[in-house]
Amino acid sequence: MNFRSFSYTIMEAFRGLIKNRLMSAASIITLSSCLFMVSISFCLAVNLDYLLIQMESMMSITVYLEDGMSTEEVNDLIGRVNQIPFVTQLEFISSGEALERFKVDLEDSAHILDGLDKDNPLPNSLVLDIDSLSHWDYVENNLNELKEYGVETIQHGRQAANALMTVNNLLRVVGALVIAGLGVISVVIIFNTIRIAVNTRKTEINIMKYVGATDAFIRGPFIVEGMIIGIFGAVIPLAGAYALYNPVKDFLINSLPVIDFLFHNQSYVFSLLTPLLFAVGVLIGIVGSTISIRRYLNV
Amino acid sequence: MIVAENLTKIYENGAKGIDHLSLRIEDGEFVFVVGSSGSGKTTLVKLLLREVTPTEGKLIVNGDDLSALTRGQMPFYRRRMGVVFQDFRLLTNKTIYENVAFAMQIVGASNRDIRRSVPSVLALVGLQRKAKAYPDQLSGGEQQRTALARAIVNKPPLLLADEPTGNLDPDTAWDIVTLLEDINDRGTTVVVATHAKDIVDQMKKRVITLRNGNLVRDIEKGGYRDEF
Ligand SMILES: Nc1ncnc2c1ncn2[C@@H]1O[C@H](COP(=O)(O)OP(=O)(O)O)[C@@H](O)[C@H]1O
Ligand SMILES: [Mg+2]
Repeated sequence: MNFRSFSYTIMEAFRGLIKNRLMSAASIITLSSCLFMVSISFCLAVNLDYLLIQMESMMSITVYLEDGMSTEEVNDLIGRVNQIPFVTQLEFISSGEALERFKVDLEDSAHILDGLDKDNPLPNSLVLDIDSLSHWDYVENNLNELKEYGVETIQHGRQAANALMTVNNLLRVVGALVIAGLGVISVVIIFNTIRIAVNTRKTEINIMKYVGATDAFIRGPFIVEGMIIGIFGAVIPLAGAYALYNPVKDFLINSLPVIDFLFHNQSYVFSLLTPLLFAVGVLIGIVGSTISIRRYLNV
Repeated sequence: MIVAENLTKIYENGAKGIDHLSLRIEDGEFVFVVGSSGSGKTTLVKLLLREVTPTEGKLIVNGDDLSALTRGQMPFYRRRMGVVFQDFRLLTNKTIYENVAFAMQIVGASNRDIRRSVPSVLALVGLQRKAKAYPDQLSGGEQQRTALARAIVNKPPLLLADEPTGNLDPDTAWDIVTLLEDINDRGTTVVVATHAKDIVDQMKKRVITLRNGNLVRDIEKGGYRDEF
């Protein structure tokens, strides 16, 4: 395509959009709504993922050991725990150390523990980091089999993590369904818009065919029309989501009683979301217009 | 050059548009195709335009065998022929100038070529003073002359006309036919499907008569005669 055909194509596309401004606006609004949902789901999903990763790194299994184990017995147990796959870190905390840490945690009130130094009630413990939440069950089962080697109780915060993982998966499924539904609606609306645009220019297309215009030349303006709808349909929700991101993030940080979880920052999220939304918008625009013009080309 | 051999077009509903037609039209000829309504004139034009495909037989136009023509080649095939219809088929939202320029734009002509060719073609059909008018501001004859200008602006070797004077009063019809003759004098092959008896009679050109899609008469310098 040479420059003349190119400028012709672009100009015709804008003329078409303006001529059918009502339908064009309807298409852009529908697509924008769809892509706004995509944006929200995306922001939620990346931050939930991030949250999970943070929880994974934050959460560990604490294994309390039986009282009165000898150093050899403790070393033997540590060796066995170390054999368990997926354990990335293992820390032994003696009962003395545990008491010291407890004091540090209590800060000003540490004096209430003053009398305990001689008769320390805290057990020895092992703190395990596991590479991923999905391996918790496996590791826990293995730990349970080590009861005879000195494992007393196993403590963890897995339920919370599991709940979050379930919520995350559910959000993904619901999000995907909503997005797919809206995507189909968008394609249909754009299909109709372009079909009306094509229909009002039926005579023109007919004449073009008789004079020997190529299919690509005839199709060009309509495809570009679809692409422009796609671009507007992506810019609007992007701008909206961008403007909302930080306020919502701040609101959540301030109102949720969660301990210091980090959210992705705005620029990172939108460096991923922007190309995604443009790609999806333009693709939907192209698909819609391609389908609608196809049958008019058979003259 | 147009060569048809046993050319047949049967429509989907079974109607015979063209039935085993064989004919030959040389480069530079002026040919009338006549016959009563339903005799197959429009079908022949559509076959030549490749708007419909033959059911049977062979059709060679400007050296192209139409049965071997791919979809991708069709636009380029059509660029070597101009066509006018009874109903002019102009774009009402474009000026006369733009209607003619449009035919050049869509084949990718440069603006310089367009600015040079369009006025000279408009002058040829006598419309240089109407360049800025819109089709509905013109008479039927002027509209058909616009259509003619558009058909020849890309200098095709073949011009097809399907009832070009069908919507025009006799005087205007003569203007158009005279123009067609001018165009033919410049070397373009002209094929006119018509049932305008007096025009055909007076022009003394080759006349091909169709009946039921069949060639029933083909004479040089002939006249119109309905055969029943
Ligand atoms: N699109 C069509 N579908 C079915 N039959 C058609 C179609 N076009 C023309 N015909 C039939 O083909 C025959 C020839 O028609 P046509 O070529 O239009 O004749 P003419 O132009 O000489 O009046 C007629 O019987 C007509 O009914
Ligand atoms: Mg006819």
